Amino acid sequence: MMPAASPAPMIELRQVVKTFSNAAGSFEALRGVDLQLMPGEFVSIVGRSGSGKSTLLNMITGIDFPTSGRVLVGGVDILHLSESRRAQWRGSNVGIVFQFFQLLPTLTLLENVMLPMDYVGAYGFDERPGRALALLERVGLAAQAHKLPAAVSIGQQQSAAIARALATDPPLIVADEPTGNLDSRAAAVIIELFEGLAAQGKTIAMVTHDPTLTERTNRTVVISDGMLVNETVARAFPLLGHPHMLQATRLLERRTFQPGATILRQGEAVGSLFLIERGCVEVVLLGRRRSDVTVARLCPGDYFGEIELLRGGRSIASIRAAPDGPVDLLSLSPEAFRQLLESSPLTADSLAETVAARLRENRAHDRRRPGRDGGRA
Amino acid sequence: MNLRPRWRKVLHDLVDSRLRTALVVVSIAVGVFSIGVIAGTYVIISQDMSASYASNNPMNVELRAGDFDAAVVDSLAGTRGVRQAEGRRVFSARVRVAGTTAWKVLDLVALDDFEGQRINRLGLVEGAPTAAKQQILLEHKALEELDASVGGELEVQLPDGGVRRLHISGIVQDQTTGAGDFLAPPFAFIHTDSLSFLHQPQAFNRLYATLTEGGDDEAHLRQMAADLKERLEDNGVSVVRSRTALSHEHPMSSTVQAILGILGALGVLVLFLSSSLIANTLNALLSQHLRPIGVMKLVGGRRQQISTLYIVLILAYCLIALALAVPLGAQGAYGLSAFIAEQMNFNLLGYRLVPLALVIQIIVGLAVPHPSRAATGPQWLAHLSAARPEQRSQPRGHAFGPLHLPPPAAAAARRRGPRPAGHPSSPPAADVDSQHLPAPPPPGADALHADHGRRHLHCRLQRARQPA
Repeated sequence: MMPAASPAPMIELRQVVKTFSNAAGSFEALRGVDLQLMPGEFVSIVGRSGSGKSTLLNMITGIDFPTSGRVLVGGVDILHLSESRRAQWRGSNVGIVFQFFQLLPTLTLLENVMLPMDYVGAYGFDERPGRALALLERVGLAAQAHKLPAAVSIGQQQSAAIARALATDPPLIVADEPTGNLDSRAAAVIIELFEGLAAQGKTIAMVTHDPTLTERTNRTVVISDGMLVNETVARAFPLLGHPHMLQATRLLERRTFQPGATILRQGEAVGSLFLIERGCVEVVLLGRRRSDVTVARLCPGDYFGEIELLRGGRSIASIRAAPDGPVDLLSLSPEAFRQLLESSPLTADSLAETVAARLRENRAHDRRRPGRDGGRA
Repeated sequence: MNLRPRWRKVLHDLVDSRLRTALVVVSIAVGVFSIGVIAGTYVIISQDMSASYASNNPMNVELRAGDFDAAVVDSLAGTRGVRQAEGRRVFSARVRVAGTTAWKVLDLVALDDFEGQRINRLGLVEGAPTAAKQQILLEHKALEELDASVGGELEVQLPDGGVRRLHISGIVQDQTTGAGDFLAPPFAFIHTDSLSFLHQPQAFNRLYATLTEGGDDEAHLRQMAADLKERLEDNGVSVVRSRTALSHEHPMSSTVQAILGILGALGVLVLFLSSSLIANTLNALLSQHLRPIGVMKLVGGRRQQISTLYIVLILAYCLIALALAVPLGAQGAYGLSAFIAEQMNFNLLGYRLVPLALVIQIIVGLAVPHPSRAATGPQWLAHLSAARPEQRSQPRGHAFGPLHLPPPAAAAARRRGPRPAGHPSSPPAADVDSQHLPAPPPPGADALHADHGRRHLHCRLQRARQPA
C-alpha cells in the first residue's frame, strides 16, 4: 500500500528576505525566513514590536513583496501575479482581520460584508445579500446587519470584520492582533469564532501579543529580529526572551535517531542539553535484574540532560527513541545552555523547579525500588 | 435602490461628508465660475457692443466745420459713395436744473428733424422721442451730472450771461455721437427752432455721413472723409476736424477687448490658483481615503475598480460644481457685461447662455480636476499602490500608517542610536519608530508572559511524569 501523500502546505515561505532601503541605509525586516503552515492549522505568530511579524503577514497576504525568496500561498506564487490579479486572488483566497476592524464607516455591516463579494464577483448579485446576512448571523450580528459600524460595539465590529473576511469563503484567514482592541469577553467570542473556523478546515494565521491566545492555537511561531525562532526552543523555554530564543536557535545541532535507538546510556557523561523536536523518547532505568523500567515518556517540546548539566555527574537514566517512530533531537552545548540561563533568571528558576520536581520523582521511584539509583536523565 | 456596495460608498462619500463635498465643489466651482464670467463677458461684449452700436446707423464720417446750411448738406448727400448725410449744430452750454445753483456743461445738439433722423439714431428711454421749440431731450448719461427728470425745466446760460429755460421732454440714449470720446461732456438734444432762442445762429456746424459701401474699410473711410472735407471747403466752409468710424465696430471696441484680455489673463490665473486648490483638496481627500482604499484593495478591489470609484466621485464633484458654476457664471457674465455696457453706453441683446463659455466651463470643470489629480500623481498612485489599512499606532478613526516601518523612519530611529542598556530583549532601535509603534502590549504583559511560560512548563512536566 502506498503511503498517503502529505498535504501541500497552505502557506510556504522559502528563504524570504525583506529589506527596506533608503538613502540613509537599509534595514532587514525579514532575514531568510522559512515557514510552512499546513491546511487547517490555527497558528499564532508572536514577536515583539518591530520583530518583523507584520512584515511576515504582509508577505503572506501579498501586500508586500520579499526582496528575495519565495512565498507560496495555496500553491500560488503571489510574487508573480500582477497587482490586479493579486488583489483579486487575495479577495478570493485570503480573509484579513485587523486589530482595528477596518470596516468602511459609511457602509452598513451588511454592505461591508458584501463588499469583497462585489469586488471579486463571488456569488450572484442577488445571492450576495443573503450570504452576507447568513455570515452575520453566524457571528451573531443578524439583528445589527443594517446598522453602521459606529452604531455597534467594538466586539461586534470585529465580529462583522470576521464575517467580511469569510465573505468569499477563503481557505486562509489572516488576523493581525484581532483581539488587541477588545475586552476579554469580546476577545473570547472572537477566539471561539476562530476555533470554530479552524475546526471547519480554515487555515488561520494570527498575530497576537496575548499569551493566553497562543495556548488556544495549534502552533506558535515566534519571530525575533526578522528571523523565526525554532518552535521547539520556544515550547521548551517559553520564559526566555525572544532574542535569547533566537540565539539558542542559532546554536542548535540536529540529530536523528531511529525507533528504539539508545540516545544516552545510564552512567554516561552528558555533553549536551537535548530538546525533542519530533517523535518521543523513553526514560529508562535499569532494574534490579537489569531489566529496563520505563519511568517517563518525553515528546516534542520536552528536553533532557538538564539535571546533569546543572548539577554535574553522569546520566542518571538511559534515554532511547520510542519504538513508534524516529526521533529528531536538537542539542545545545553546555556553554550555550549556561549562557541562556544567565541571560534569563526566570528560565533558570523554572528549570530549577523542573529539576527539583524530577529528582523528587526519581527519589519516589527509588523508594519503591530500594537499592537502585532510580531517576531520569 | 439596489446599488452595489462600492457605489453606495461613493454615494455616502458624497452625501455624508457634506462639508468636505462643499469644499471640493467650491474649489472646483470657483475656477469654473471665474472662467465662465470672463469667457461669457468676452463673447457678450464682443457681440453686443458692435451690434448695438451698428443698430443705430452710426456715422462713418464726421466733419467739424464752420457754419453751413441745409443746401450744403443736400449737396454733399449727393456725393458718390455717400448714402446719407445730415447736418447738426453742436455747441457747449452751461446748464442747470431749474431751482438749483450748480452749473454743468452739456453739448447741445440741434437737429431739424427728429423723426427723419437716420444717422446716429437716438433711442428713447423715457418721455417723448422728440423735442419741439424750447424743449430739450437729455441723453441718459447726462442724468449722472444732472438731477433732472422728464417734465422738469433746465436753465441754459447764454453767451451774454442770460438764462433761458427749456422743458425736458424726454430722455434718450445716443450710443454713437460721443462714442470713443471719454472726455466729451454729456449730450442733450434740441430742435433747430430753439437755436435762436438760445442766441445761436440758425446753421449747422457738424456734418455726419454714412457711406454706401466700404463702411468697415478704414482706408476708404479716410479717403471719403478727405473728399467730403474738400467738397465742404469748396463750398466755403472751413473744416476744423474730421473723424471716421467703422459701421460695425464700436470705437471703443479695441479698448474694451484689451480690458477683457486682461480679465482673461486674470481668469487663467484664477484657473491656475483654482487648480492648485483643487489639487490640494483632492490630495487631502485621497489622504483621508487612504484607509478605505487600503481596505478595498485587501478585500479584493483591483486598482482599476478603485480608481473608477474615485474618478466617478471626482466626476460627481465636477458635475455638482458645474451645476452651480455654469448658471452663476452666466449670471456673472451678464452682470459684468451690463456694467460695461452701462459704462460704455451701449445696449445688450439680452440675457443668454454663451455656448462658447459653456463649453470652456465644461472642459475646465471636468478636465482641471484630472490634471490636478495627475499633479498629485505620485501620491495618487502611492495611495492606490501602497495604501494599507493598518493604523496600529493611531487612534481609531484616524488615517493609518504603513504596516512596515518606512525606511526614513527606520533610518531616523537608527540615527537615534541603540536603546539604553537594561533592555536586552528589546529589538534594535532601528526596528522601531515612534510614529509606527505597534500597539503596546496590555499592562503587565511581561508578567503575564512569564506566568504563561510557567504554566506551559508545568503542563509539560506533568505530562512527562506519566509513563507511556
